[in-house]
Amino acid sequence: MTDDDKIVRAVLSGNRDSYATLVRRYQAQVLRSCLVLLANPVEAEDAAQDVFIKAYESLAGFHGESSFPTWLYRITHNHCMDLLRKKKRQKTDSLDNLVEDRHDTGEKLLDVNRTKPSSQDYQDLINEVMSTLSPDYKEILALREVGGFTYEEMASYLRCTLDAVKARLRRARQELREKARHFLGSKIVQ
Amino acid sequence: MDHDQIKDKLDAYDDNELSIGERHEVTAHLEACAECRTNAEEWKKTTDMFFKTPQLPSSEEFVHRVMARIERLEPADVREQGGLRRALNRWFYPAFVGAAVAGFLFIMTVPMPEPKAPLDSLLFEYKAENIPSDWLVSADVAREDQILRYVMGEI
Repeated sequence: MTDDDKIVRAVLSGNRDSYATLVRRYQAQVLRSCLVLLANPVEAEDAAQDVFIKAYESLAGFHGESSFPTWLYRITHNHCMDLLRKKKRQKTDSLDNLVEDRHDTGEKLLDVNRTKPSSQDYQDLINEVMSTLSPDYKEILALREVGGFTYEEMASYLRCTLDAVKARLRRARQELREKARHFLGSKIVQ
Repeated sequence: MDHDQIKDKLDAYDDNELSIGERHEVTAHLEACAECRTNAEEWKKTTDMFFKTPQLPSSEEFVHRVMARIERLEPADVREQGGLRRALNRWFYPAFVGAAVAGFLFIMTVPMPEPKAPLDSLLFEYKAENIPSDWLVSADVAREDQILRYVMGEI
């Protein structure tokens, strides 16, 4: 039995304060997952709180078939995908729209002769680039890059074939590569 | 594997999803091929930038906010709801669906007794006895019983 499992048991037997240890331990991971999927720091923070509340409410459903962080990641992922679906605006911004909206932010940010960009500027730009990806692409990238799921786990989770996972992941990465090159080119290629 | 095949395998290589043999082959190719090496490095930087930064610090404020929300929940209810939901999902719903399917199959497979006479001729005979319509046959309990006994072969 892992330390996480022991804490879960303690919480279920009435020691509610023990849950703070799990929140403390996994908050960064949950917040990062939310940020990748929602591409909005404020929404990500709210979503991360909701995830921990949902996890607490469903704690009796955790039977240790997977590790606690994996189980928590599934809750995070489902919650964020629900939020994305509810938004409905599906982020149809094209690359051109983004360029128009942000003008030449990427180039300006990376121009060393100009004022040095802050890390917040970078994060804003990264969030904007992420927000232009389709929910399907964000989903599979988050599963792989943040959740650390294997191809087989992704196929099982997304209820599709291994080949479909590979194809979708390849397309998602290709799109992210192209956008990253466009907006953060010199930073990445250098 | 040639250059293009290796190029297609770079993602799987990065994801540690290749067999040991394939992995050795890609590693050897990366040492020799500058283009593939650049692609791999570029993707590494991209993932670092998009998925591994920023290093989010643990925030006690966040923990307090979550715990404050949990304070407002009833823990006993949470446990009971969790247990009840689990019991419903695991036992009640499958049992209910199973019972419904079994009932349906039972009804469909029970052989129905064949009537001794075709319905048309039966009604014709009773119409001959001045019964004005089929509805009145049903309304007249005595005659209905008689018809049923006839159909079941008791008379």
